[in-house]
Amino acid sequence: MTRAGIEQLLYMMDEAFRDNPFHSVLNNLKSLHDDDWEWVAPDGVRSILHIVEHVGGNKYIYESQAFGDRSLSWERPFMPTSSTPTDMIEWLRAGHDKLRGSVAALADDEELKQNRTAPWGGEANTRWIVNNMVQHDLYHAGEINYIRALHQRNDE
Amino acid sequence: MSRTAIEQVVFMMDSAFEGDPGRPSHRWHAVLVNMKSVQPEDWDWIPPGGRRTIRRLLLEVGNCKYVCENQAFGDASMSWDVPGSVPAVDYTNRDEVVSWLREGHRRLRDSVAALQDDAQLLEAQPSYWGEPRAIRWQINTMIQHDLYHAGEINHIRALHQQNDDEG
Repeated sequence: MTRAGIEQLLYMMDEAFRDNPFHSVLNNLKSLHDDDWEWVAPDGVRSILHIVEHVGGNKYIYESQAFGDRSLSWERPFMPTSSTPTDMIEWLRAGHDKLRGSVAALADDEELKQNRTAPWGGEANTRWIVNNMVQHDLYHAGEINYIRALHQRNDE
Repeated sequence: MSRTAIEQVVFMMDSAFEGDPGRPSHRWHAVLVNMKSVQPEDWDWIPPGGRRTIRRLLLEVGNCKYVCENQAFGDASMSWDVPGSVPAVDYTNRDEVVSWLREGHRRLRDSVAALQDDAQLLEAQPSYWGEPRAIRWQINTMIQHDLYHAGEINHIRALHQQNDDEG
């Protein structure tokens, strides 16, 4: 019995969400000014607030579908009651902790090969689902950075 | 001796760069996947208030792969500060840029795949950050680098193609 794969995934989840100084979601949110959150780039549709809702909402949905009672879905997400930056970040953190807790509770790397329910109605193996969530954080952290840089006019 | 973590890292490197071939309809975040929807006129477009183009981001992605691999696993001859030390690419030619990116990725992933034991991932090696860092940290940062810039590429493309709602 080994947990090397599980521990590796937990490390990568935490790095993507909060720890990496360059690429993590939370570190990219730290450099936002209040007026960046709802700004939309010319010819764009999605604001940073919209993207954060998408990132956080999916943390809850993926956890519910793969590890929980499947009560949350893209049609029935769990969203924050307030969209202030402080409340959004707290809601994001709680979503991350919930998903992380479910991964940390796995007992053996063999469980990473098990199929679980995915939000689109099909199945994927556990490792794929967790990796997809890691990717999701980083991909949207990049988008957040680009929007912020356009608005703050410091795209270097 | 275990290679579980090594194999997982290699899987995550490949899926960040070109997506998981086993799930072709669920490859949303990878660098090469996001390049496919980039049109020629998108490459050098700069949004109002911006400076970095898609081409520039791709060159950064590739350069980092070459330098990281060379510093951590090679002879440390490549550096940002040594002009010409990174393999050259005709950056005006999209196909060549893709081939150059693939080669940089191949070098890095093959070096990781050649590790024999998960414990090696925690060993500090020279890094292009100027100080020794654990291999795991270096490779994870390269995985993140691919995905982060893929997101930026997607946003520039979506603004230029005026289809940001599909992002």
